[in-house]
This record gives sequence, structure tokens and C-alpha cells, in this order.
Amino acid sequence: MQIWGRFYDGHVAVAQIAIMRLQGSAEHGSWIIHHAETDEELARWPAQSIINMPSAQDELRLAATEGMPGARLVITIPLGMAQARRMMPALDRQSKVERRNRLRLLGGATTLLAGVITLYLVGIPVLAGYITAALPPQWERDIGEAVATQFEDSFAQEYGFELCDADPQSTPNQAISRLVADILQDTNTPFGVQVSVVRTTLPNAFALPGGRVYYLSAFLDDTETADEFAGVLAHEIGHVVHRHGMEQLVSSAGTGLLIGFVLGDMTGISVAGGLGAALIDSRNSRDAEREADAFAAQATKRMGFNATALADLLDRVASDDEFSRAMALLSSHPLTSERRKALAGDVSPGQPATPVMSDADWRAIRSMCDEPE
Amino acid sequence: MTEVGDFGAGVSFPSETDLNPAAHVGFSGRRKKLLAILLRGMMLLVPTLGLYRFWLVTRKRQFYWSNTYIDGDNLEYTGTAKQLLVGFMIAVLFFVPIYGGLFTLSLRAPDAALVGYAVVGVIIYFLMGYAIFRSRRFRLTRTLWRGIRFHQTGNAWVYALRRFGWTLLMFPTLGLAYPFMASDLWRYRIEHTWFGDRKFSFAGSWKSVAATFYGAYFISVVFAVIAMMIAGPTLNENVTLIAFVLVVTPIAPIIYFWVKSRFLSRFWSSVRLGNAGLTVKVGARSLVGLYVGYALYFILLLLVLSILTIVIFGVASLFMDTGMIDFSALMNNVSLASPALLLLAGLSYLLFIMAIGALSELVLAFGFWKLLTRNTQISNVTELRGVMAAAGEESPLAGEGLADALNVGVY
Repeated sequence: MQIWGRFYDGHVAVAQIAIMRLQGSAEHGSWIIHHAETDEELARWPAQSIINMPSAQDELRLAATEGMPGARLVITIPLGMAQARRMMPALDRQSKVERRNRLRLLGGATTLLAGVITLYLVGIPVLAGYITAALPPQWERDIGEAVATQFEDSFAQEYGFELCDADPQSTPNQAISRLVADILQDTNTPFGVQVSVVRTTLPNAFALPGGRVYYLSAFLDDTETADEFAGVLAHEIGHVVHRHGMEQLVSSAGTGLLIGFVLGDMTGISVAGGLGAALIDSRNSRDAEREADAFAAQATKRMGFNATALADLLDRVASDDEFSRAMALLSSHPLTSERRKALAGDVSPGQPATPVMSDADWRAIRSMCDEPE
Repeated sequence: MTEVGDFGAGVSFPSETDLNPAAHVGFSGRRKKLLAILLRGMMLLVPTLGLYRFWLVTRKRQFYWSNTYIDGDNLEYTGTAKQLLVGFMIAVLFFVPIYGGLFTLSLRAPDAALVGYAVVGVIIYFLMGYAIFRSRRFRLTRTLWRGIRFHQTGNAWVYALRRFGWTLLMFPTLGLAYPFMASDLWRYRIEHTWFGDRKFSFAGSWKSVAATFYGAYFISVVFAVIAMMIAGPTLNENVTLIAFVLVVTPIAPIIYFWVKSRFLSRFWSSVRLGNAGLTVKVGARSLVGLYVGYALYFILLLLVLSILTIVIFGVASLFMDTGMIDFSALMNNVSLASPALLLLAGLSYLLFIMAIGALSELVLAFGFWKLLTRNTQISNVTELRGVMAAAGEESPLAGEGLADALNVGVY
């Protein structure tokens, strides 16, 4: 039995025509490689140590773990390839071992990565909370300032953006300040909450990091009672107190890192990362909404006004014909029955609600965005 | 040619080129085989959370290397997926503190966010030079031909600095420094490349491409001036723009591919190993053909994928009882959608990305490799027979992982 091939000895860049012959058994013998013309012995490979190297489909590339590094016997004759595969049980074993090792490594790495992702998904709200708590509040105020400036500029172009009542001493602003102080009672937040009622065509209310809360006039038009107004404010102040804006920054940075790892693009250039990050962040923001609701429920319970007013308001906006207009609001405040329950807290239905502010104050607030006659 | 008679007539080995010292480089890879590798990869990427990419890259390299032959002997790629995986881990360890630092910086100086991003961009550009050189070393030290390994000396930081410095110089010179930059970087790469105990040399210089580059530069300026003159008297911005687009659209790609093909041919043809040298002739027309073909396939793929997406979501919306899905609303308000829908969207998106990646691999990367190898010849190839193996190990893994992290390199 002899197999023809091209032999590289691993020392010199020359291909030699060689003949491979088996000495001894296929299992424990040796393959001797001879020069085809001179019959000089070029190499002696123990059958056990023969391995298959990556090659094109029309050739078989053999090496030996105990041979010279780089030494190869390349078989290109189909008959020879078939003979070699049949006569070399080590090749079959090697491919099995390689497949097993590959599966083990790939499986192990995937399991590990899945574990890291699970840990991240479970741990990030907590972790982001801890990191946020460790960051100085002044950082958050600075960020809030910067975001507010950017945001007011871009908003002004699309929907208009103008303070409804610039005088902080006016009746409605005083009433809002008193309400905010009531809601903030018993919380030890480092932030002063500043509520701005703004004339614009988009219905929404939101909080920025560091204590700025915006109540947009189009949303104020939808707000029918003082309890609804107070509910919305309590919810937004909940975001401020829990430092959700900052938490979101921290967790989305973490998500970016994770997505970068999964997709192998640490620079974050990839668009793919953006979508994945948005999916994970949206989950985190739902958690934040729940927390803000819990805060609002607690505040309403303490102050004794109608806790489900916020839910009523959202219900009404959701049934608005201009559904897409309300999208922005509802996307950040999705309404579910679970949420309604959370808002109501453990207030017993029989308990009478006390007014959150005087009728005069509420009328002043409602009309603060009316055009002066 | 050496005939071997043991198995009868008709069996012969590829040429030994004893008489003809010019040898061909060639490529025998089939697109179908590459497609099979890519399809398998696409199926395994999702369940392995993307980790299969290291195996996919390894398989792709094995495909390209093992099907490329030089004077009758094929290349061999000896790198493994495990090495890439470890390299990537190292890159992650390297990146996490940088990432954390940049995040803190962005928190502290939100006003300077734009400046911050610019700084990050500059740092990444610099690191890309490092990664390019290191990943080149990784691939070279895992490339065998006739049983002899390639390798690379030189310092990746020096290379990154050179690349960075030349790039800075491009701005004040309005790009006129480019032939100097390109030839200097080519020289640094080639002259630090070894095959066994022999070092490559680079015979090219800025002069090799000066006529092409400055000619193209001059022609571009002339066309820009013509476009402005046509539009000039009207003094209307829209007309200026239209005139500009009309003149530039057909001219720009022609000039670009002409310059690119000349650069490739001239610089590759300047690579020497002792008396042996490469001769590469890549025509602008073949490059244009490659990209036009890609553009056509790309449009076709987008069409097919869009139809597929609409069908999938249509069917999904029937089953999920959510009514017809408003796509723009979905895009703006991810949190509104149900988890099942999000999963579907995510998977479709992945399919989209992978299909586009596979297309560019099948058409551009494959086509370019084939074009380059099939148009290459080696003169005085007998010179290579004296090359001896050099002592030394395969290079460490750190650089290649960084290249992966920074999205550097095609093959």
C-alpha cells in the first residue's frame, strides 16, 4: 500500500513528490514518507499522531502532531485520498474529538454569555440604582440643565415652547409650588422640583434629571380635575425622587456595552445595537413607571385625594380620536389594569377623597395657558 | 512538469515551473461552497448569541486560504476560533475601562457632548491603525505556504502613529499628501512582512501612483469648475446642485475605481521577495463590474426582504389580535408592542442584517479576492525554493480581538 502526495518538510519551501507507506498496523504502526525518485526517507509519522489540516475539497492535507511543525503531505489524487481516509483511523478520531471540543467550547461560551445576559437583565435595575445613588446630585442637575436647553430648542421648532406664566409669584404658580411641597413632604430628595407649564400642541408631562418637570398645555387642556393634575405631578415627581433619568442613562450605557459584546462591535457604530438596546431599555423604563406610580399612590394616600384620577385621565386620553397624537404620552405611560390597581394603592373604596387644592387655585392653573384677552 | 506514472496516464501534479520562472497565483473557490458556509453561520449565530462568529470567520478564512494557490501549492490557514474568542475577550477587558471613562466624562461634561464624541472618534481611528497592524500579524503568522510560515515584525503603535500623523497631514494639504501616505504605510506593512527567513521589500513609492492620483485630482477639480460654470450665471442654488449632481454622478465612480485599480496594481506589483516579485493587473472595469453587480443584487435583496417582512408581520398581526400594525408607531414606541412582536421584530432585523452581510461577502469580498488572485503572477518564482523556515511562535492573540471589536478588516 502506497499513497502519492506532495510533501513539504517544514524546513525549506519546496514541494517534493513523495510516497507514503504504512509500516506495521494501521493503528500502531508508522507512515514512512519517501522521496518518489530517490526513495530517500523524508519523514516518519506514527499512525496515532496523524491529523487532518484544513484544506480545499479536492485535496487531503496531512500533518503529524509529532512531526516537524509545517511538515505536510498533500494528497490530491481522489483514490489516494480515499485510501488515506480508510487506512488512517486517527483522522476519524481527530474529527470526532474536534467536533466534541468545538461543541463544548461553543456551548460553554454560549451558556456563559446567556448567564451574563440574564444576570444583567435581572441585576441592572438594582445595579443602576446603586451606581446612581453613588453619583453626586450636582452631576444630575448639570445634566438636567443641558438636556433642558437642548430639548427646549428642538421642541420650540416643532410644536412651540413658551412658558405659560413666567411669574413665579402668580396665583397658579404659587398653587403648584404648594402642591409640589405637599407631595415632596417626608421625602429626603436632594433635588428642588421646578414645575414649568408650557404652551405647546403636544399632550404630555415629563420629568428631566435633576428636578425639572414639564406639564404641557395641550395635556393641561385634557386634565379635568385638580386630582388628576396632582396625580400626574406626583407621578413625575416620583421619577425625580427615584432619580430615574439618571438610572436610565446608566442602564442604557450598560445595555450598549452588552449589545456591543453580543454583536462584537464595541464601538457601538452598529445600528443593530441601537434596536437591541432600545428593547432592553424599554423594559427598564416600564419598571421606572411602576416605581413612579407607587410613589404617586403613596403621596395620594398620605394627602387623601382621589388616587385613580391619573388612571381616569390616561383612559380618557387613550380614547381620544387623535390616537397617534397621544402616542408619545401613552408610550411612556402605558395604561394597564395592573397599573390602575397600583395607582389606587390600598385605599379602601369607601374612604372619602379630600380636595387637593381650592377650586380657585385649580381654576387659576387651568386658565394659566389661556391667551390673554 | 513532473509526471507520476503509478496510477497510469493522466495523473499529473501541478507544475513545478522548472522552465518557466513566472508562476500563476489562482483561486479555485466556489461561490456555492461559501454560500453554504454563510448559511450555516447564519443559522448558528442566533442560538449562540453571536458567538459563532469566531467559528464563521475561521471557516471563511480556511475557505479563502485553502482555495488560493501559488505556483501549484495552496495556502493553509492554521488559526482557530478559540484564538479569536480569547482575543476578543482581551479586547473587551481593554475596552470596558475606556467605555466607563468616556461615560463618566459624558456625564460630567454634557455640554461638550459633541466634542466628546469627536474625541472618541479620533481615539477609535487611532486604535484602528493599531488593530489593522496587529490583526495582519495574526493572519500572517497563521498562514502557511509549502509548509513555511509567514510572519510580521514592526510595532503596531508605530504603525498607528504613522497612519494617524499622515491623516492629520491630509487636512492642510487638501488630500494632496495621499500618495505619500499610502506608499509610506504600504512600505511599513510590506517591509515588516516575512516569509520564513526572508523579508519582503517594497519597490514602490509615491511616484508609482503620483501621475494617476494627481491626474484624477486635476480632472476632478476641472469637472467641479465646469459644473459651477454651467450653473454660475443662473445664481440659483437648486440649479447649481442639479448641475453638480449631473456632472459628478457619472464621473465620480469612474475616477474613483480608476484610481483604486491603479493603486492596487502598482502597489501590489511593487512587492518583492528577493528577486521574486508580484505582477498584479487589476482593471478599473472589473472593479466597476463588481460594485455594479453588488448594487443590483442589493436592490433585489432589499425588495425580497421587504416583501417577506410585510408578509410575516401581516400573518403575525392576524394571530396576535392587535389589528394591523402601525409600523411608524411601532418604531417610535417600542415599549407599546407585545414581547412576542418585539421578538419577531428582533429576529427579522437580525435576518436582515445577516442577509446583507452575506451578500456583501458573496459578491464583494469573494469577487475581490478572486479578481486579485487571478490577476497576479510571480516572477522568478524559483527564488522562493531557497526559503527556510524561521524560528518563532505564532503571534499573541490580543490584536486580532481588537480588530474584531473595532470592525476592522474584511477577510
